[in-house]
Amino acid sequence: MSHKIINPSTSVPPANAAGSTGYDYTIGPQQTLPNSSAQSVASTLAGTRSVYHESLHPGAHGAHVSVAAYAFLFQEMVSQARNASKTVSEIELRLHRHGYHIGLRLLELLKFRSSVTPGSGRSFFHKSGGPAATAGDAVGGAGSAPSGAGAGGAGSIGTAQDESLSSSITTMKRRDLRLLEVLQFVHGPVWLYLFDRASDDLVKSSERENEYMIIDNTPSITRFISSTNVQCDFFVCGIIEGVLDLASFPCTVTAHSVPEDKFDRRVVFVIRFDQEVLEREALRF
Amino acid sequence: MAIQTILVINKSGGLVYQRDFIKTSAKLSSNEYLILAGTLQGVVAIASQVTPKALQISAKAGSKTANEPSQLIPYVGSLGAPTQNLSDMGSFMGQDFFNESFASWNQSGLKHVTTDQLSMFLYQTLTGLKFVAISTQSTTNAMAVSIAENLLRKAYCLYADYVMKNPFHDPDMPIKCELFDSHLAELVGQL
Repeated sequence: MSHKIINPSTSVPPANAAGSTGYDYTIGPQQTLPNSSAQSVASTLAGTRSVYHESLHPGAHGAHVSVAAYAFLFQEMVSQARNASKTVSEIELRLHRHGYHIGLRLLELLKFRSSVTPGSGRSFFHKSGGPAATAGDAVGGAGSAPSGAGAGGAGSIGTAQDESLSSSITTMKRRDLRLLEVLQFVHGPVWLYLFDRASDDLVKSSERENEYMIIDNTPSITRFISSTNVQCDFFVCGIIEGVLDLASFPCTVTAHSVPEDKFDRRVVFVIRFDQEVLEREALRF
Repeated sequence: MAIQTILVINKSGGLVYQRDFIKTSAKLSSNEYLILAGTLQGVVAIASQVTPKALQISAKAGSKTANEPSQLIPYVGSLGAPTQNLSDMGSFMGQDFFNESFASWNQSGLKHVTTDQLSMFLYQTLTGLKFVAISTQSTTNAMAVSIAENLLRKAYCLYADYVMKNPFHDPDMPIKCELFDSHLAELVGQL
C-alpha cells in the first residue's frame, strides 16, 4: 500500500500496534490500522467479536446485562449526582440529563436495528465469521478502492461492516410521524430494549389534551432503592424525553410514584407535549 | 423456631440494624442493644483465640481444603421461600437464592449461644459483617443451627440487594431502608 496513514489516536508506531487491537492500559484504546497485516484483521473478524461488531446487528438483541451489575452502576450514578447537587430537584435534573443522551441514541439505534432484515443478517455473520481468506479479501478490496483510502483512519473493519449491513437493509423503517405511533414505539420497542418487556400501560390523560401516561408497575432499575423524597426514575424520564425530542415531539416528562394495591413501586411517567405538537397533529397530511 | 430479633453488626462492632418481630414486654433499650452488639463483637473475637493451639495450626495447614464437606453448612431447602411472585425476592431471580451447601466464614468464632429461654445465632460474612438472630426457642440441635445459618444468609442476600444497592445508604451507618425492612419481615414471616 502506497499510503502511509497517520493515526491520530495512537502514540506508538503501527508496527508495535499490529498485534494489539483492543484496549492497552499503558497506551489507551487502539485502532487496527487498515495497513496492518491482513492476518490480524482477519483474526479479529473471525475471533473475538467486539461491541462494535455486534451492536447494530439483530443478533445483539438477545444481549442481557446482570441486574446486580446495573444496579451498582446506577447506584454510583445517583450518589454522584447527589454529591454534586444541593437540592432534590437538582439530583433529579442530573439523572434526567444522563438519560436524555441515551434516549437520543436509542431512537436511531432501534430504528436502524428494526430495519435490518433478520434473514440477511445471518448470512452476514457467516461471511465475517467464515474462513480468513474471505475476510482478508474484503479488507483488501476496501483498502485499495479510492474511496477507502480517502476515508483514512475510519478503519477497514468498520467499512466492511457498514457495507455488508447496509446491503442487508432493503427499506429503512419509516419514522413515526403521528403522536400515537411514537408513543407506541416508546411503550413497545424502547421498553423492550431497556427492560425486556413492554410497559404495563399507555394512557391518555382525561384532564389535559396534551398529557399521556406510561405506567410501569415494577420499575427495574430503581427496584432496590427505597427512597421517597428523591425520584430516581427521572433517569428513565430523560430517556423517554430524548427519544421523543429527537423524533420531533418536544415534551417534558416527569415521574410520579403512584402505589396501587399489589404494586407498591408503581411509577407513572407523565408526558406533557408542547402545544406545537398538538397543532401539527391536528393537521391532516 | 420463632425469631424474636434480628441484629446486624458492622465490622467494627457497631449496631447498624435492629428489628423486633415479636412484641415482648421486656424490651431492651437502644443503648442496651448497642452494648450487646459491642459485647458480641468482642466475644466473637476472643472466642476465636480460645481455640486450642494445635487445632489452630492444623486449620492453618489445611486451609487449602476449606471447602471440604465437613466445613460446609448444609442447605436447608424452601426455608422462607417466596410464595407469590418470585422475581420480587431480589436480584438472584431464583426461587431460593442459592440451592447448595455453603462454606462457613466463621470457623473459630462464636456461632451459637443457648439459655433456657432463648438461643442466639451468629452468621459472619467474609467482610466481617455479622447477622444475629435471637430465637425464642431454646435448642442445642445442630439442625436448628444450620437452619438459622441458612436464614441469616438469606438476610445477607437481602442486605446485598436492598442496602448495598441503595445510593442513599452510607456504608457502616445505621440501615434505614424500607425495602430491606419489608423484605426481611417477609422472610421471617415465611419461616
